[in-house]
Amino acid sequence: MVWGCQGGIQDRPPTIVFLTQGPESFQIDFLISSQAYGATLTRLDPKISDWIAAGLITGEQGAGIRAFEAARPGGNWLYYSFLGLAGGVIGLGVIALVATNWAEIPDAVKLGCDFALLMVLAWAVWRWLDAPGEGTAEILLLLFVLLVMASIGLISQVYHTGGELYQATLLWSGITLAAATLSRRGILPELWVTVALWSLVGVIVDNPWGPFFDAHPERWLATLFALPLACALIAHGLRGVAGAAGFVHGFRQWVLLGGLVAVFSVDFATLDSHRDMSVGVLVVGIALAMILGVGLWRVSSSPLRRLLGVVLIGIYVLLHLLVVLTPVGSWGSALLVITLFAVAALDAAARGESRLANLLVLFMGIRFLVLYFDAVGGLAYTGFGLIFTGLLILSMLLLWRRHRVVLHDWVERMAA
Amino acid sequence: MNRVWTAFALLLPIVVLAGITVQRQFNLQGREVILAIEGYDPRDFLSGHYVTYRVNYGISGLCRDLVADDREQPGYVCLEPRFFASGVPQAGSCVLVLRGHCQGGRFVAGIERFYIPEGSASLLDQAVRGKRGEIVVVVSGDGVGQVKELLIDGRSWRELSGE
Repeated sequence: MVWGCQGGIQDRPPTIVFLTQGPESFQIDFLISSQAYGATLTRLDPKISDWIAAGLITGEQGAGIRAFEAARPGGNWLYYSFLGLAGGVIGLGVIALVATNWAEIPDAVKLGCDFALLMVLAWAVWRWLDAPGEGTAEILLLLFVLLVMASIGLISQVYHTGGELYQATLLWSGITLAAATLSRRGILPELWVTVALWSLVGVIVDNPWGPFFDAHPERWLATLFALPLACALIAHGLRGVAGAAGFVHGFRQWVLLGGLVAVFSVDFATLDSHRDMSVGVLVVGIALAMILGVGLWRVSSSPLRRLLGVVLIGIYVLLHLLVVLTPVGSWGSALLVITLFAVAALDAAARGESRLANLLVLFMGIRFLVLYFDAVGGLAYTGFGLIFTGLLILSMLLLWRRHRVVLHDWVERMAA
Repeated sequence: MNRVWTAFALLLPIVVLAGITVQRQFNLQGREVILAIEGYDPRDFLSGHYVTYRVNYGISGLCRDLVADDREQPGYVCLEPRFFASGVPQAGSCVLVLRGHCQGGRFVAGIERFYIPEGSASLLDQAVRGKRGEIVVVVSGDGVGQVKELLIDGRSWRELSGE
């Protein structure tokens, strides 16, 4: 007899437990997805207690599972989070010291000490990288890359170089990418992804690049529209690449964050009824959306997820097209935004990411609230509209609840 | 982890930063020019306080021939004799040229910023705003300018701030 049960872990594939009945006793086999950083013990702990109480596993087996998970690399995520915080705070302190600009110290001494410290940290990372206990190497690596950032600031200060902050961070991103690949935790790669993306956005937004992008608003719209799509493509491309799990996680986080910012920004843009932009602003993003859509359709294992992914991208593109090409107002935009969040919530639920799904449902609620406060067309009109919409949602929920198996099969046949 | 890759990853930032430092230091070997300035004091997250200013080249019509929008367009200021050119000055027409670009109708040569200690920021900012400031710029043979010193009333800023 084989049992399978699933527990969703935020932003990670489910942990699947199979119980197989051997000749004398139950044996437990765990299959943990290769993408997981390690199951969160606090999430497993109540389940283990329930399994023991239900007689599925013995107390000894439960203790063995707890010990196994606690010893797993990445099991102590809180410990490593605080390690990263400590390293980050120290690094910021170094940057602040550099920024203080101690004029009493000759420039040659400042630079000499800086490079000496860089070499010492580099040696220390080299020394401890493969040693047992990953925390030491990880914090040293974090300190090293933060000191690189401080060094860029110091050189700029000593030689009075001009330029924008994003140019400095772009340089930092380029010369520390290789170092970021040495990290075995997610902290440094995620930091690197955030800084690199910020730098790229700065480069794109701060410089005109063609006939459709002369003005800042156009460059912002184009960038925000394309950013989450580009991050999704990169994350998909890096899946399965050895040592890139941290980068994948970082880019996936920015798919969500960038997508939310893009949706809210374009939704907000509908407040300006005199907007005047060309569809050329969206060309790059539309191209990325098409590539991503085709890619998702081909690689998604589940027909439901395939369909949801493509629909999600389609609504995202449609929302932006309507805002750029038509005088669509707040109501039209709200309808699309809410639909987008609904589909995204379904997709998150299909992946077992219940917290993300709940968050997206919350955003739907917030958008409804904004609609109410807008009171477009008067309070009465808005009130009836909201009541109708709420009843519609309830009806759809009841329909889903009663006929979900049939609907699920129908969706899968459509997507197959 | 591959030791060769590890060594490369750790040495790359150090080598690049050392190269930038050497290049900047090399740029200080050119000719010195003193230029009048006027400006204000913001703060840079990485490098601290600095005064930024508009350099008075003593030339009217800077960047006038170029489109006054956000795009960067190459421009050249000849410091001996003083004139502006949208293209590289012809050989023999200019003894010392400063390379930069025009953006939004302003000529920018990468010399518009001078970093100062936090404690002196306010004092120096007032002096620069009061048009008492000048900068010593070193211009290399290929036209790259680099700020070397900030003068207030003809003297080093350190004398004004009492350092």
